[in-house]
Amino acid sequence: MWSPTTSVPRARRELARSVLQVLQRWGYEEQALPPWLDYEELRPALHRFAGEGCKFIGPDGDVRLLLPDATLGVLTLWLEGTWPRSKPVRVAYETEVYRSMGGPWRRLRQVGAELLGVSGPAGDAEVLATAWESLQAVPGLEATVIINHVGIARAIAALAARTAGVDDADDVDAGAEALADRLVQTLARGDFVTLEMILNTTVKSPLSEEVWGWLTFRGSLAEVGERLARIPAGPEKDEVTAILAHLEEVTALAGGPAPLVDLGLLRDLGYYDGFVFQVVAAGAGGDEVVAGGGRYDSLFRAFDTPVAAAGFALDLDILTQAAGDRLPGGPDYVVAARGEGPVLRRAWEEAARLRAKGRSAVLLPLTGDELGEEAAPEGEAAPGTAAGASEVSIKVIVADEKGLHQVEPGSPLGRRVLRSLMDHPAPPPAAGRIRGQAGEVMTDAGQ
Amino acid sequence: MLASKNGERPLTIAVAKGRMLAPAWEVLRGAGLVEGDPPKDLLLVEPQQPGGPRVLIVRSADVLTYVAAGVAQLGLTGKDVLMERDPGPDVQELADLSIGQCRISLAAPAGDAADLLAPGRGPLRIATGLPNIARAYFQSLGRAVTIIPLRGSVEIAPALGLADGVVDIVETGGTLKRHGLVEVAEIAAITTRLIGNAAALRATTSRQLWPLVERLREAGRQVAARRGRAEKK
Repeated sequence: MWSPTTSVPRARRELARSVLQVLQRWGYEEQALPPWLDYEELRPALHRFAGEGCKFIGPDGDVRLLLPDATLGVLTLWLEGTWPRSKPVRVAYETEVYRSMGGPWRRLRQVGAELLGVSGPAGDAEVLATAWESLQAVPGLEATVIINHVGIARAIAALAARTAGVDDADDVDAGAEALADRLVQTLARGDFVTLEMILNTTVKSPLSEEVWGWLTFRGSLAEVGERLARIPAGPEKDEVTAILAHLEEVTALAGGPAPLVDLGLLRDLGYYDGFVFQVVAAGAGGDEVVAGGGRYDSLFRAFDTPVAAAGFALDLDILTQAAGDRLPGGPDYVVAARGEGPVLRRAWEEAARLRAKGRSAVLLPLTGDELGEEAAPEGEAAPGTAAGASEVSIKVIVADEKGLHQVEPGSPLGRRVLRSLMDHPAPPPAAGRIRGQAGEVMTDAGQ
Repeated sequence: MLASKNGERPLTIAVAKGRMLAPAWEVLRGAGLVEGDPPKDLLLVEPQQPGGPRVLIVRSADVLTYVAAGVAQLGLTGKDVLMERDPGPDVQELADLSIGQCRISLAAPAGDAADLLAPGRGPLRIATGLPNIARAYFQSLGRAVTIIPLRGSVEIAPALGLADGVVDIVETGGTLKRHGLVEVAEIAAITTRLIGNAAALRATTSRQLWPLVERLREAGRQVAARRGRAEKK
């Protein structure tokens, strides 16, 4: 990172802008989302946010909820009649959401999109493709795409329940349904210990082992297809076959890297009801989810406004952190004044001239030892050239009694100027890492 | 071997220090992931073999924190930790390793134990280091209770008049007995669980993950059986 004062907010903003530009190319129009929601009005959609959301009482005595999720903001606008309901709606947003997530309240910064009114593979593929294309705004991001369809786990759980011995013969269907639901809920919690226990002690189906293999499966779409042959013919097999064909079409349309399928990826079950995906990338500490989304038609159906609905959100904070030095940072120019009075005025005017041309320029009065020209000690090189940083473009201009000089950032004087600007020591600049032209050429005239 | 997706960083497994370290280390050794005895004063043990994991040794509750954050991809921690702190969607509970067997119990002074849960008795004061588990237990009974959270030495609270009873982890019952307490009810059986970071696990395939889980689970069974036999002797 170039400097503690240049950066994280700027990098995050530029990242969001890049993503919004991608979405604009796909026809998504940016929309400001409401900062809070009416808790009672949205209660049927709140599910986990009822416990995790930041609630407060408005001046009218009604309970409000700070926006816990961008989709709920879009849902609110939809219910208010912001868009015509007969046409597809493409909404992009950059927003902050607030959740407790099992601990203290957290503010998450998100950028994302919602696609209303487009169902089937076209809708799912568009959401996946726009998410992946948006992530390309982060240079060098190594990520894995994981997909699933909630219907597969439901079908396999239904198969387990249908072939299980349900004790209450008068209520077989209800018992099987409840058992299947319990299996899916347990899988969604990521509790494989309980899942195995239910399969072995409650379900006791001859297919329990096969069901366990399905519910714990992680692999390619082709491998899911191979597994299909192992389950008996019936409504569940037909359902999984249809879903698999759907997923193949979605991934073929969306392009991008071959995804992994994780049948345990169910996200929030009260919310997502079809195609779901996550993108995992290496973060500062470990692997982190940088993007997630999917289809949630039932969310809108719960408000008697049925519409095909899908979307995704990127976590701006994690992505900015993951991007690290690869995101732009720092000013375009540093104008150093090696003196006071007329020298300082000369530097001041040059910085002002650069800013008037739309460049960012930092004025740096050099004082005391910084005025000297001797080389920086070995190993104390120019900051902002940390290992792994991509090419940093910064120009150093020095004002002295003779005039203005553009100096090579890697030169002793250039390094001294940059070290005066920021504290972080860094390895010596590798050839080509820092662009800058030495000489007494005046700054970017003609640029 | 399950590899960390995070660049060249090796797979990191977090284990609890203290009394659980020795059996946890035995499990890792039984699964072929580490060698020798557990270190006495290291917090981070670098891989002992090519492609092996590094082992992070922290407090039991912190195992969950490290795994939830993705700093450790796998962790060994007690079921009590998972019950007390909702691990949320970032953590998956992969296997019961059978080691560290104990229980969470409600206990009270011997003279008061029989009437502790009697109908008509007023609100109870319960001292515990597991306030969420205790609260949920009494809610399930429909009983009013005042939870008094303590960080340790819970068993002394009734004798000093701070509480009517305690909810605590019981291994042999010896500590309760020494403080004049008897178990009123077992709330939950506890064992060590293998947990994993959901994001890290999502980026792996079944072929990479489940064989390793099975190796650890099998090693856990063997360690538990060995320790059980040793205790009987």
